[in-house]
Amino acid sequence: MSVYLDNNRLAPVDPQVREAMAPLLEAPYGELHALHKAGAKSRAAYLEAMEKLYAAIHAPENGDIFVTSGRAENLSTLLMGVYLSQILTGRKSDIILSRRASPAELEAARLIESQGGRVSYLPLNGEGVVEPDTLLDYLTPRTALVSIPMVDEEGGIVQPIAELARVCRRYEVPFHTDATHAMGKIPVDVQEMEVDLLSLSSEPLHAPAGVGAIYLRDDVELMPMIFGARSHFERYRAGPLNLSGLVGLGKALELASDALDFEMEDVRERRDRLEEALTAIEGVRSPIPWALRIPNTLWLTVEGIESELLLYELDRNGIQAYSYTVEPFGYWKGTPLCDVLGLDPSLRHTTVGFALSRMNTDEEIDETIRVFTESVEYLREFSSRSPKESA
Amino acid sequence: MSKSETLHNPFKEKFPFKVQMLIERPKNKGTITPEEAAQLNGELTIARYGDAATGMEIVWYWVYDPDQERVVSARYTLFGPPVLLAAADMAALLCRNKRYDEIEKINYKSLEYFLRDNPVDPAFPEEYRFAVPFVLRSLRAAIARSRGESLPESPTVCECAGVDEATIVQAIRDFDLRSVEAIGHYTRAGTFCGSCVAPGNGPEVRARYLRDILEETRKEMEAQSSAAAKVPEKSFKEMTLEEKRAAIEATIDEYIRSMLVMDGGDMEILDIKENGPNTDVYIRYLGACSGCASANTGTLFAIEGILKQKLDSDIRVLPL
Repeated sequence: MSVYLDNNRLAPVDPQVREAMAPLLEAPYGELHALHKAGAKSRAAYLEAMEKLYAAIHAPENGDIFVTSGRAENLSTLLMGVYLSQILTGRKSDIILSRRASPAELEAARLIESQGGRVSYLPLNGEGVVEPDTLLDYLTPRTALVSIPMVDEEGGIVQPIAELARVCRRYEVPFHTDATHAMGKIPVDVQEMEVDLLSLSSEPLHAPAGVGAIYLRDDVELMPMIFGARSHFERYRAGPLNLSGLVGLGKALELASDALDFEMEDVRERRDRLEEALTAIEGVRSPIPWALRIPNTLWLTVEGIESELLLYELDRNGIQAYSYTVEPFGYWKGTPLCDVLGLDPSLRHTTVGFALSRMNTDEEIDETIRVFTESVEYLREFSSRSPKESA
Repeated sequence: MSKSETLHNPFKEKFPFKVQMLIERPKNKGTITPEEAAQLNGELTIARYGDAATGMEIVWYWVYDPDQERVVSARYTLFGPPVLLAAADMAALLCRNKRYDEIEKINYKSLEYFLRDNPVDPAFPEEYRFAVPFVLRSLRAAIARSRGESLPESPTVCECAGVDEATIVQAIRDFDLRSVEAIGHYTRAGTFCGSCVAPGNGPEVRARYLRDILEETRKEMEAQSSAAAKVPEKSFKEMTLEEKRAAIEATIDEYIRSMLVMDGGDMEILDIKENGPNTDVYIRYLGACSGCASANTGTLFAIEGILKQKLDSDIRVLPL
C-alpha cells in the first residue's frame, strides 16, 4: 500500500480538475487575443476561471488578480517590484519578512540587502506565531512592504493575518500574505482580512503545479517583472498564459472552497486520529498546539531517530512523509522550526511531518499508524538517543 | 552548466545494492553489555562521537582483549542518516579482530572500497560522501579515548553540522577539494543555514568562513607541491633501505591493496633485503589471500609487475 502524506508541498491532481482541463488539452485552443473561434474559446475559459479565482478569495469588484507561474514567481515579483519601484528610487528603504519566510523571499531579500536596502526578520513567539505587537516594533515610516505567509508550510501554523494587516493599515504600509497553504484548509477572505496583496499557488490544491495568482487591492501599485504585454490580459505578466493550468486552478479552488464545509472536517478527524495514535508512542511529540494548526497537518519530533533514516524506513514501507530538515538535502535557508519553537537542539534532526488531503482514506491512516509504530520500534533498537537509554 | 550537470540527480532514489543492503539489514548494530564483554574475556570500551543536535552521532561498543591485543567484538548505536548506518556497519565489521594500530590504518579508500558494488563505481553519490570520513573520525576518537589521549582541539567553523576547522582542512587535503560545495559533500559543513560559507550568505556572522579556509589551504597545498617539485626525486636504486621500504609501501597502498581488499584479502611486508642488484620483498598474505590458489601465480605476478613498473625492474616479490 502506498500512502502519500506530503500534500502541503504537492497534492495529486483531483480527477474533477483533470476533467475540467480536458477540453483545452484535447482540442485546439487559441491565444487569448486571437481573432478567431479558438481564441474566443480560450477567452471564455479564461473568464470563467478568473471568476472562480475572484470567488475563492472573495476579492472585491475593484480588486485585481493576475496569473503567474506559482509561488516563487509571486514572491520574487513582489519583492523585486518593491525594490525597483520604491527602494531603488529612495522613496522607502525597509522590507519586513517573517523569520520563517520561504527560500524565494530570503534569496530576494539577500539581494536587496546587498544593494543597500534593509530587511528585518520578525521573530516568532514560542508557538511559531508572529505577534501583532512585535510587528508594531519593527514598522518604520520607511517600510515599503510587510510580507508574512498565512500558514507555515512545514508545521501548518496559522498566523493572525487580520490583526497583522490591521497594524499595517493603521500606518499605511502595504501588507502581503502568501495564502498558498491556507487555501482550502481555512477560510480565506481578502475583504474580511483587508490585506493589500495576497498570493496563492496551485501545488497544494490538487491542481497541476506551476500556476499561481496575485491579488492586488485597487490602490496598490506593482511593477511587472516579465515584459512584453500584448493586451490587458498580460498587463502584469507577459507571455502566453498557461491556460489549461489556470482552468485547473480555478476548478481546484472551487472544489477547495466546497471542501471547507465538511470534507475538511473529515480530514481533521483523520489527522487527529493519526496524531493521537502516534503521540501515544514514547518520545513522540506534536509540539505545535492543535488549535493553531491547519486541519491537515501533523508535525512531530521523534526522539532518538534521525529524520532521513525515519523517512527512508517509512518510504520503504510505503508511507511518503516529509521532513524539511533533510530536504532538499538539508539546506535550511531560514530558521529551523525546532529552533523557532525553542525545542531541545537534539530534536532538530528528528522532525517528520504528515500532511493529509481529502483523498486519503481511513485505511491509509491505519496503515500509517502501523508502519510508523513498527519503524520507530525497529530504529530505536540501535539508536544512540532512544528515550530508554537516556532515561 | 553542462548537460551532465543539468541532468545530475542529487537525490538518490536507490543506493547501490551493497549500501542498500547494509541500510536495510545492518548486521552489527546494537550494544554490548559488560556481562557479554566478560564472557569474551575482554574490556568493554564505550565511546561517543558527534552530537545529535548536528544530525550525526555514533557510539562505539568495543570489547578489547588485552591478551590478544585485539578488538574481539565491535558494535554501535547511532543517530544519523541512512548512509551513516551503512558506513558504520561496514566499519564495525572491519574493526573486528584487529589491533588498535590496524584500525587506525583504515582509511577512506579501504572503507569505501568495501562498500562498493564493483571496483569502478563509488559507493555513495557525491552529496553523500560525508558518512565515511565521519565514521573514520569516530574510530580515531574512540582509539584515542581508550588510550587515555584526546584529539587536538580545533575551533568549530560550521555550527549546524558541528564541523571544526581541522576536519575541513584535512578533507580539503585528503580529497583535493576545490569548491565550498565539495567541502559540504565530504563534511556537511555549510550545507544547512549557509552562514559559514561566506559573509552575508546566511543569517549569522561567523569568525571563520569556508571560502577563506579553502583559499588558504589551497595556497598552502600549492606552495608545498611546488616546494616538493624542486627536490629532484631520487631514483629507486639510490634510496636507502628505509626509503625503499617507504616507496614500496606507498605503491602497494596506492595500487595493490585495494585490489586485494576487494576480495576480502590483504598483504603485509615482512622484510626487504638487498641482494646484489636485486631488491627482494618478502610478503605475507592475509585474510582470503592466504591459501588462495592464485596467491603464488596471478596475484603474485600482478604485485611484482606493478612494483617493477612503478619503481624498479629489479624488484623480486617472495611470498612466505
